[in-house]
Amino acid sequence: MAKDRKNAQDYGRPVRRLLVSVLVLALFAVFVLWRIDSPRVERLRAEVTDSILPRFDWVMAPVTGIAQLAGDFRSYQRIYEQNQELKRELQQMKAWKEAALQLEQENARLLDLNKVRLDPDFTHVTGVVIADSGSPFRQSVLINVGARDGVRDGWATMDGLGLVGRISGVGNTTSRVLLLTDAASRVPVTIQPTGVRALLTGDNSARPRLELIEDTDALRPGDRVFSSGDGRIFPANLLIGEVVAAPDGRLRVRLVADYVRLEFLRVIRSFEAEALSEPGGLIAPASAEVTEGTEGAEETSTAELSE
Amino acid sequence: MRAPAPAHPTAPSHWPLRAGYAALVLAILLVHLLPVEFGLGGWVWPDLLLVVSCVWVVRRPGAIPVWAFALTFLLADLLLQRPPGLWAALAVIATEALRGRADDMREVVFSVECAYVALAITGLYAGFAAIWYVLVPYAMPYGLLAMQWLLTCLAYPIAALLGAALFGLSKRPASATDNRGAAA
Repeated sequence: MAKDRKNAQDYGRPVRRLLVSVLVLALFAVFVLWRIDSPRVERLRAEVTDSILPRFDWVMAPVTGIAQLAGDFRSYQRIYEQNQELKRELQQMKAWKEAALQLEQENARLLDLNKVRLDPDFTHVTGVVIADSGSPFRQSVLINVGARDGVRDGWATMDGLGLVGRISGVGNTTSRVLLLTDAASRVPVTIQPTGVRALLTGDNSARPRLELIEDTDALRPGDRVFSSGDGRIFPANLLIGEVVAAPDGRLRVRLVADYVRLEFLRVIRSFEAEALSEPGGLIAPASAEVTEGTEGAEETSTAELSE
Repeated sequence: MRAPAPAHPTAPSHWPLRAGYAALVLAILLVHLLPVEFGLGGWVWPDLLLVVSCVWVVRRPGAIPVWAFALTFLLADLLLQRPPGLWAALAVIATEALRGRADDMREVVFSVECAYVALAITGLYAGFAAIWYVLVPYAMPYGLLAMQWLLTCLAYPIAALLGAALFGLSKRPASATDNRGAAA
């Protein structure tokens, strides 16, 4: 019987096989196109996401709320030990607070002496996380601010405490934040207090690796990691986390941002820093632009000194 | 692809099954996208979309046309941050291979059916990993991928049983020797 059915379908099979091959080839073509011209296809992806996901807000918002409620409930169960822990921490914090106040005053005095101008362009726009990457292989979240709010690709994103990731993919009303833990994330960092530079490399685990470290011996677990601003991807001096030594001997970073519960994210507006493309203005003598050039150079060198 | 009536003389309309598939796809995608549990701590879900598609194509090869699978998987690629097109193309090849065998699979016992599907899924994952290794610029956590492959293979029997219970996707016996699905 099955054979008969097959025979009856036989006349249509070559055509169908051809159509399926065309379909498969078309899909592979999309993939190859993505490999060649990734930005354009990623923009398409952002637009598709942007047009679909906000429509399902009414389903996702309540479910997300319930899931978070369940998480909160679990944490209520441990409320006693948390309370003890908090009391202990509060004691320590009081001591720290004194120290911090003194340091703050001293810092203000010194900044005043140096006439340092912190970057005036540092404003931010805050968004709410509406979806995650949906795949265990990628680490990203979708937030509900986009091109409409002036968000652009590459901007740094923080939660209240530290750097979370950077914008990669902007739709009209949504944009995607590539987290520091994603395998595709690379961020140049500076490690204080030594000032050693390194590259923070995501590898899909909760604690990204430090690679290309200038001087491994100078680092100690507990050193603090900041963005360095190298390559002009990020503004400098955003707090990222602290160095920890992983069991495998590698140096990793414990992120200070609360990755378990990302809810409100700040997108830092950073407009491109002025690039010093020509050394001529600095070194070469006597042309009309030299005066302007040296002024600019002075500003930059002060900024560098203050770092 | 063909009109359903001549292929399956006893088949009722495919539309309830299609609606069920669409609802499942939507639910799976939304659950994946919910912003809870960032990183399951080294643990992954089986690829439910693939499992559901396999159940549908094996049990009712006429219900979902190939272009619908292609669109579904391409949409999933776009929404779930995979390289668009690659997984979709491989999934279409896998489901078409199963569709070609669907008539044979109706006559074999359940375990053999599961083995066929596991073979198709294995081919898909192997192709995906190989092409990723050669062409995609960033590293894939292959350990996680292997775990997902295993879980996906194991999820098929469960999904097939659930599909039979909830959507009436039982095997209809093509011959008198197999009366497994006769009650449905």
